[in-house]
Amino acid sequence: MNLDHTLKTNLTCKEVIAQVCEYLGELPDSPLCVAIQEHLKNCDNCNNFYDQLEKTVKLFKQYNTDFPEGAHKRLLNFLGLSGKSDNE
Amino acid sequence: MQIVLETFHLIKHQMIGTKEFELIEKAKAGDRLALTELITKYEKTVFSFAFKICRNRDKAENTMQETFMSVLRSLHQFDGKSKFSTWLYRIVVNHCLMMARSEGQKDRFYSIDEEEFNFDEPVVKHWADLPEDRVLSSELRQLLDNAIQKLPPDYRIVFVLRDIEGLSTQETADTLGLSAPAVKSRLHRARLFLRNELRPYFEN
Repeated sequence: MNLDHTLKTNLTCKEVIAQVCEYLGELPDSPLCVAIQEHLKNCDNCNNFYDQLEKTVKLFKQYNTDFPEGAHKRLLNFLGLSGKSDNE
Repeated sequence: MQIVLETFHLIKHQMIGTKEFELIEKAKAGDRLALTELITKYEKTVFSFAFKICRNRDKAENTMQETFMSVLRSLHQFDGKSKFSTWLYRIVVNHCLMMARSEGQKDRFYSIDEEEFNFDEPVVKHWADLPEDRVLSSELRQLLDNAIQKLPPDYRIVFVLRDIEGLSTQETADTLGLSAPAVKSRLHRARLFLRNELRPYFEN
């Protein structure tokens, strides 16, 4: 989908859904993101969709796992560097 | 010539930080303590990233070991033009992709290359707020594991690098040898796919 962002500021829901990731990206001040932001203010459906994407990303960010016990020692053994670490 | 060399070294110092630069140079010269310090600094990052890609602790540890073995073999090739962490990510990605290929995982992934995302939901529901604490239930963790494992590795890696590890689009593109638009396209599809996988949990 190609949009001329300098001319078009009123986006349809379909256009917002297709490009909402630009807004969830790194250029929130770009003309496209400003237009998306304006649309989200006035559209519950698209706002919910954006919120769902944010929650999806947040959940995956929250999902961590501990560094396994003994993994550091096993790594140094594997690399033939055992006995040379100050941390052991 | 001298000015050019000095400028080159100055840029390298700025790119990767003086202390880390010195550490890498010592490790390159065969200083085992420096090498161990470098490994200790990055082992958790590598393990965590590998786990987020392969979703299995044993495989993640194995990937971490193979990654640092590659580091030992090719550290002399690291030229400081990119961040050391970016260079490491690239090695982890290569090992993860090799592992996926060797396990013949291709058939288990959903194909989203050609699939155009058709949005046909007349009403988009509001999802309940996420729990404030950072401990996820085992049911939710299982759901997240299942969802991300359906994503082809090429998409999964982009999602993890951009959204979880926090690399910029350009850094992700540089790490994977992709164009920025290709990164954006894969990220968009990956996010939409994962959101669809989580819908039943939040909407039923």
